[in-house]
Amino acid sequence: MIRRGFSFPLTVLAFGYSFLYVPIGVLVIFSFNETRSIAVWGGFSFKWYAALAENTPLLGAAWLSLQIAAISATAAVVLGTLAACTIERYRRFPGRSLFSALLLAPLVMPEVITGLSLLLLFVWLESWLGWPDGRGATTIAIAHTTLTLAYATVVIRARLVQLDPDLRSAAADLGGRPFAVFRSITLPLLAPAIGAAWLLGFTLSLDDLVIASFVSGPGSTTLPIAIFSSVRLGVSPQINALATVFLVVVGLATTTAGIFIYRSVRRRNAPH
Amino acid sequence: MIRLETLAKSYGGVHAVDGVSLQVEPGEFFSLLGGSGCGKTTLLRLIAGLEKADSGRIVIDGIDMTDAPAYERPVNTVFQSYALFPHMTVARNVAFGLHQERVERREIDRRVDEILHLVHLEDFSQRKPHELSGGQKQRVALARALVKRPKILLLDEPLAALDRKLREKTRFELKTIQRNVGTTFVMVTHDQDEALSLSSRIAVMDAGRIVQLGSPRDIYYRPSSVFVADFVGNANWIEGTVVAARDGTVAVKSSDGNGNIVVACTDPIATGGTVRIMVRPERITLAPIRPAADENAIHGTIANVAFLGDSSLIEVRLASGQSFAVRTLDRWSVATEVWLTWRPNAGVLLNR
Repeated sequence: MIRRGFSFPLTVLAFGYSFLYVPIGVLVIFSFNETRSIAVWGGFSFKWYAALAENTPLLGAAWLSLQIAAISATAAVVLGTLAACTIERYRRFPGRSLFSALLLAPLVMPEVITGLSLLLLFVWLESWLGWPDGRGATTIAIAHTTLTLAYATVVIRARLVQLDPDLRSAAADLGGRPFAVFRSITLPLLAPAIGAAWLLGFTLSLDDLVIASFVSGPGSTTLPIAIFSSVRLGVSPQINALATVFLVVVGLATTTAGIFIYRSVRRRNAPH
Repeated sequence: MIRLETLAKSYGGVHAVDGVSLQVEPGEFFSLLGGSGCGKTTLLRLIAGLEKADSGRIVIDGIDMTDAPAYERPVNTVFQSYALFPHMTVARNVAFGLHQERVERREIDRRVDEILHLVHLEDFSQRKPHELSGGQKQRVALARALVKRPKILLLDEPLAALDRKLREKTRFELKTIQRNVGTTFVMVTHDQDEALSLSSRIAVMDAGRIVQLGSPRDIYYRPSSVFVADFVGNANWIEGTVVAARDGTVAVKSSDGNGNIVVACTDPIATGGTVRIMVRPERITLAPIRPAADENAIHGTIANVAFLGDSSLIEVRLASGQSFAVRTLDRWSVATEVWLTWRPNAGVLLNR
């Protein structure tokens, strides 16, 4: 017998999902609040979106974050592809397992330690080489590349080991020189993984507060830093508005990517 | 066309190819036949340049290619997995090799059309590999390799992934294509039927070495060793001692209770030596009564009959306790007493 209207698993499920999504829902709702309160509804309004549009420092921080995320994700994907190909193609070279382990270390390294060690590195480099000249967007991008490189390598390598090694052999057999084989066979077949790695890296970089706090300098405030410091002075609904904008953009991008991937998978599995 | 000189390749101390020397002539359909792990695929990959030889020489069309990379060799390969590029259409797969040669675009289109016509795939040029059946993929792989007009086409188990019916049809097609294009084919296979039916010559391999090289008929009817006789087709064995040898025939007294055997053998052989005699199942005749001749006549009882459609495979239990396989078109029933006979030239005398 199933009791109507109430069941324990469904309740747990509902509770779990509420815990995940009600706070986000509340955040979105209160971005449209007329008053400054984040707890009392004072009527519907777009005033915080208007205020956000005027808030140059916050928008500047968001723009800087997007730029850093794009640069570090791109750099990580390029380096990660090279690293993954090296590890998979050259099965035997001295230090292969050490190389592969060291590449993945940032995955398990606490961010505080990564951040601190990079800060020390940059300070040391500056005193010995005069570069980087203080800390700012460049040092954040470099730091984020080291973090996201590990993730990018894992994602790209997972795809690479699935590829039939005969494909590369066949391309070479048909007269393809190593670079031509890489460009016209390996790279296109890795493209989905490279795309996924780029998105992952982009998100990780956009989201990072800890490492950025260590290696940022004056005038290079990323969005997480800006939000975190403004929250200490009290939450402004402008932050809610900014978060809502991000949610919409991310939601659209993810849905589009999802549909695209679903279609290509369905096409690949199509019956003969 | 290809000359291999004491070619060797080992992996971690295991000799995959162990001092192979052979020569393949232009226009031949040459097969490397052997069980898994005998080194036949490694040998093929050495010729293709996909593996590096430890020692020895590979000479292709008079040019030493031992150290040449795969992309510089005038050979192309049909891979067992076909290895079609999944992100390219059939036409682009086939055109890939020509693009690498920087062939002019119109010439590429013309040659791709021509070769797709040859393998009956002209209507499939815009399909992706995942939209093709196994047989179609196999033909794309063949077209992709042939369009380069290689001096030698290498085929690694080209028919293994096809189902039985298609395999037999494709076998004839492959032979027709080879005759039409006139390219030298070197095929690796573990399937004796495939090797026997397609090849002009076969090299039987075992443990990285060639154990016999000859025409399909040589390999089948004149195996040089017990291994080859057993690997290629079914074999019935009789052991015995040579009692006389003259006029191209050898008389053997069997040591396992199968009477006196006469076998054609032109090689000089000493009397008193222990030998084995091999008789193929289809060379044995079954008779209900004792034959006139005293030699090559063994009495037995039919233990099993397997009807195969085009013939029957019959298991006969001999008085000695051995089982012989006999292939016949006649109908026999289990438990019938029969006499097995064969002509002296149907037997093969082997020392090992």
